[in-house]
Amino acid sequence: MFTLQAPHPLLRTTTLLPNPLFSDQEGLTATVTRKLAMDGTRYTYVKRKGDRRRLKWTFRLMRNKGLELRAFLFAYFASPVRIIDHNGRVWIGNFTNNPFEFDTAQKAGPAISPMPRGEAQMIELEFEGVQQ
Amino acid sequence: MAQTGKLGTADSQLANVQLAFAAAEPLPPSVTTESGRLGGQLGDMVLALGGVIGASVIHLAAESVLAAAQTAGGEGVFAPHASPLWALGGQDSQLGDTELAFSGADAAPPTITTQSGRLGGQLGGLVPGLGGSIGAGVIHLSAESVLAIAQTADSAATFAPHPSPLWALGGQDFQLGDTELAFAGADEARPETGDRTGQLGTFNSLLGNMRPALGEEEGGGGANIVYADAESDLAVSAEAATNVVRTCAASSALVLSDAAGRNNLLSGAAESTVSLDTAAAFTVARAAAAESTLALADVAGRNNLLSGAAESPISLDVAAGFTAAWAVAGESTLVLTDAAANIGGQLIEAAAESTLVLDVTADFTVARAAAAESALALADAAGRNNLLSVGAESAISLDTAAEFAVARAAAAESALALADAAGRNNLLSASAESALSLTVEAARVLPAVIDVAAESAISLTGAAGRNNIVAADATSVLDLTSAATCVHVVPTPVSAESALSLDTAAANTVVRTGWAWDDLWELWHEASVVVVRKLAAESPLTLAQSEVTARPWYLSVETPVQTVTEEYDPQVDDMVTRIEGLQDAASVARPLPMAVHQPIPLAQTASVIKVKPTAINVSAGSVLELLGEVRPNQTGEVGHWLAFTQTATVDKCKPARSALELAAEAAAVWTGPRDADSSLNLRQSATYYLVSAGVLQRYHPFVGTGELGALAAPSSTLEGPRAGVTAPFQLVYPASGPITDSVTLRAPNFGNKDRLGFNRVLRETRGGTLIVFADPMWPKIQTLVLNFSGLRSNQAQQLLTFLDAHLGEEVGVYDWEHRYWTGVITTPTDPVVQDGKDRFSASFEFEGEVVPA
Repeated sequence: MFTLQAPHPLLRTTTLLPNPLFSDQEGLTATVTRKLAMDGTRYTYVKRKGDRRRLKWTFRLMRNKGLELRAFLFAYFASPVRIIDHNGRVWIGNFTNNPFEFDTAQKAGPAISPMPRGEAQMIELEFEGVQQ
Repeated sequence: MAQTGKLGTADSQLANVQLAFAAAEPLPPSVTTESGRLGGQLGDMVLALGGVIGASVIHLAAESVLAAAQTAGGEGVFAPHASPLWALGGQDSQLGDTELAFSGADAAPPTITTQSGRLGGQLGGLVPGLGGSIGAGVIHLSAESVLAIAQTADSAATFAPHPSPLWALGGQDFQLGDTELAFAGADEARPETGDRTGQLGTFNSLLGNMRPALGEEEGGGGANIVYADAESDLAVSAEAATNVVRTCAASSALVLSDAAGRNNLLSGAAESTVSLDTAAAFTVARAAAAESTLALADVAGRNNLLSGAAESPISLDVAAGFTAAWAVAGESTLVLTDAAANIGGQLIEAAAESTLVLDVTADFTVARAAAAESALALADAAGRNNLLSVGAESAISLDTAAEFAVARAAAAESALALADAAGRNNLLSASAESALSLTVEAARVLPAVIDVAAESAISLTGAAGRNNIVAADATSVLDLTSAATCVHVVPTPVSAESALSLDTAAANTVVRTGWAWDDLWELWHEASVVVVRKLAAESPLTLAQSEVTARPWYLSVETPVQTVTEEYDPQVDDMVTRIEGLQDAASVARPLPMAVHQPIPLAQTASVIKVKPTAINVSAGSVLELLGEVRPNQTGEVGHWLAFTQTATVDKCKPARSALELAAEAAAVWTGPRDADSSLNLRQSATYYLVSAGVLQRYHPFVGTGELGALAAPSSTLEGPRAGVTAPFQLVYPASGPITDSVTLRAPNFGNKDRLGFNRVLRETRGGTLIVFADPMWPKIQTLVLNFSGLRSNQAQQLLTFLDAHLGEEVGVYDWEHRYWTGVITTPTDPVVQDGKDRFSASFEFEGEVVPA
């Protein structure tokens, strides 16, 4: 289970998504700057950026859930979001991908009312946040 | 009380205040006018992206004023209650007692007095052996005694207020009682005003999710100074005033006219008119219980007398709760020091010392409580030994079965120490006699629970020296009389009952005698019959009257301290008795007003007119029952006037006219202030200063969560297909209005994309904080990327024609899910590819938005 809640901290909307597909990513945002002095001394400057991490998930959603996520992103694309990922970790941060692209990859049934067709959509979410 | 919270949130101060206010008003008047916005105005302030305007100082102020004006309804609801304090016919134990207890109008306590005096006796008179003028050895002998008595008492008793039915809700003449008591008793804690400071840009900042806009990095851009002040002023004022004009008008008019005119003519006229009007108007929403029953019964039966019966039941219930705690403390200290020294002369040694110490301490405590049961227990124990020691103990416990019980505890302590010393002289014989008389008298009058403890310790030491006088008599008599008199008349129920029984009996006996003779042959028979009839009539009249009377009470304490001395008077050459001393008396009187005036006039007049047999037979009987129940208040005046007027006029023509006019009118106008005004002023303001090295940041609402609803939450329902649309995919023109051009295609292939492109700024501060900002005004681009295949040739051409005809124009799209979009086709240059014979594929991107059904 993957939970999206926004806006943080006054949460008003919660969206539940299935677990993301494999190949999800998690990386640091910290940077290291290397400086070399004239005498050969190496200096490194580290910017940890508040332990923020960059994550990327890809979801395969049914059409209705895709529309739900679409509305969620439409409303809170610039708001702090609280995410409980599929590993149970809680993150607070923002979506960073732009644009959000829902790719209707294939047919998938059955159709769920009110949508007339059963379809599957792929969406990739990029997120930067701090684990709580 | 410290308050924490966020503005604009559900648990903000405003919410608390409203709840508290609502709780304090059980029945708040409906709010008639409202203005302003509650809560969240600070949340509206959101830092937004802005250009560099140049001014380095921004002053943003948001202010919200809530003015809630409440207007109370003109009609209040007052629940009546029977107040025994306002009952009719109260005696002196009713209103008088209670009010006096609260107003502190009791009788003045005993006056603080200071007494001083001199004992007239010389030292020689007090000391045996020194009073004689025996020799020339006594050169100088003087003594001075100063008696000073200081008495202090509490100037006024302290009366502790207690809840009294006088102040109950819904008092008859206290209209504001409801509201005021509700406000005073149920007010909850109100949040205090205060200043709060916080820091912007944090989630828990004071301004509620306000975050700095992009371009404003923490610590960057030179001197970044951020001042954030938030101020919330809450002023709640509630004023209540009442202005009520009440008008009670009741009018009853009964007019009975009976006129008969008769003269010598043949014609006669008789007219009877009975008009009974009863009108009552009440413009009060108040418990005014008035009941008037007027019954007029007309009974036919001839007599010449008027019969009138009036019955007025008066029900008087009196109940008074009275609690008073009095504490009277009196202290009397008497120190008597008598010293004498004999200097010179032939007396070898002469010393006299008299010390009289009298301590009188009295504690007086009065506690009153209403009780229903009483028990009387009297215990008196006295122990007596020799004159030197006297112990008396008296415990009196008195309970009286009355509505009023008094328990008193009086403690009196008297310590008398008398030291009498006489130096030895050369008198050959000396005799000293000391007589000590102690009389303790306690008088107790009337039932009351009184606990009196008296303790007297007397120490008398008498020593007489011996001189050379052959015969000398010295007598010292100490007579100590202590008398205490306590007379207390408690409001003992004095029942006076008068029973008047009037029995009227009439017996009528009718004896009838009948005789019967049967005369037969030689047979004589006699029978007598007596018929006795007895008529008895009895009219009992019982008048019972009972009253409860409370009389004033008073206390008096008398303590005489006297010394009786036998001394030798050289002038008369005899022993004389000399009484010296002092007397201390204290009395407390508490007269209570007993002004009760209850006149009940009763007059009855009966007249009998002889009616000639030739007159018209007129019989009339009237029974008038008037039942009135009036509950007057403390200041109201109620008057009832009942007038009967009967006139008869006979003129020459012998007209007879009877007019009975009964008019009862009662008017009560009560005017008093009554107004309820509650004003709630809630002022909330936030001031934000941003000085940022020439960079102007503009803040715009709707991002963040300062105000609920500003950031539109996604709809809980999905936009489904439109009804009636059957085309798998259709481009129409124009987007709105009657369709003039359209092209229908098959549904697009899988792989179509729904792309959401937002204008959003992501920045990292120098500290690495990621700042994401978007203004809701900024456009949100929704793009559909569609690919079509398997199109027929005509469809492909129609598509190209449609694209060509409406380049850059807003067109409508019914998608494969039968939803309607409006927008423009942004890729008109995408080619149409022929994949096979009469098989084409096409693609384009459509930028638009869904139109809700």
